Amino acid sequence: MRIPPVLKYTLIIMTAIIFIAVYFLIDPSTSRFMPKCYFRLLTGWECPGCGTQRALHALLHGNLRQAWSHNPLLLILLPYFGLAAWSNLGSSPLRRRIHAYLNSTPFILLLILLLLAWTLIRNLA
Amino acid sequence: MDLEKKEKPEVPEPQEPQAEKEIIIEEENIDVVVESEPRSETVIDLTEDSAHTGQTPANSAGKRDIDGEWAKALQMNYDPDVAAPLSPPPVPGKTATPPPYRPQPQFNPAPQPAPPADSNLQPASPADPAPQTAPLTPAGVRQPQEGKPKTYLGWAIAVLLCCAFIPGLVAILYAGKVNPRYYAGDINGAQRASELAQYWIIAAIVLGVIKAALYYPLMIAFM
Repeated sequence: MRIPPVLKYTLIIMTAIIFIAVYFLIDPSTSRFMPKCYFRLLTGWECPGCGTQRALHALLHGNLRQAWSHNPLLLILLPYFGLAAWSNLGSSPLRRRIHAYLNSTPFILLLILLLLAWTLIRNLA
Repeated sequence: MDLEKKEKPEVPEPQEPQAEKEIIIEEENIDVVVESEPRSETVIDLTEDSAHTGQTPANSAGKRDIDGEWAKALQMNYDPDVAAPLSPPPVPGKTATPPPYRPQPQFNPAPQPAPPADSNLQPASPADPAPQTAPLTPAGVRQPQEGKPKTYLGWAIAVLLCCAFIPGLVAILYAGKVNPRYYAGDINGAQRASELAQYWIIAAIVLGVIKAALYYPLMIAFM
């Protein structure tokens, strides 16, 4: 199955624009129409992704401190997402090296430890 | 240009047996010459196709990287980790010993029908398969199929943060199993771990969509 690249990238860009518009216009902390975390509703604990919507809303409005207070993990991992996406778009040696580093075992272990530590800290503290 | 050059040195090779036949019977000379021409053409075509296969990585440095990148973007499997020096040795070994994960791009069948197709047009027959096969089989497209499987780590983390916590964590754990299994020689195990990571990511996305779809009826019911 091969999607033509023009269609693919237009779809990606359109969905990205829609998501950005939704999270820019709607404040998830006040509106009742944004979905809540079911893990938190069921268990009462906060999952590592809780607060991502509010943090995105704050980030799109330029409030870095508010975004950090909602979910610091998003701000920490934003450069990682950017680098991973960029390294996947081509095959130059620099991208290959960065891709290999981002998918190496120590990096994955570090990310797992970071996520587990962050869930423990935000639920215990 | 290369085609004409390669024809000339190979023509004298079939002519050597002809010289022996010339001594025996002079009249059959014409027949022998006519018979020898298609043989020489077939030989030329094979050598030229093999030469093209060998030349594609060298020629592809400038132009065909773009096609490779597009093909990678289309196929969604790009493994830049396997560098160019690593790729040639694993290709014959892996095709022989373990069952290949995906059907390999059919490299030989394209050149093989070419020699019987055009016996009269010598420059046209080798020139046609070259642009057809070259964009489909650059080194960048073949590498991910025999190389290291993807880890899907970025997707796993994004899914963990946005869609579902526990399936995302399982996907990250499977993503962490890909590289150690691959470097330990367990290529099928690495492939399985990559597939499982992919499936858990899909499961997390589906779960997130279901959650988002269930949210509004529940919100209205408990309002």
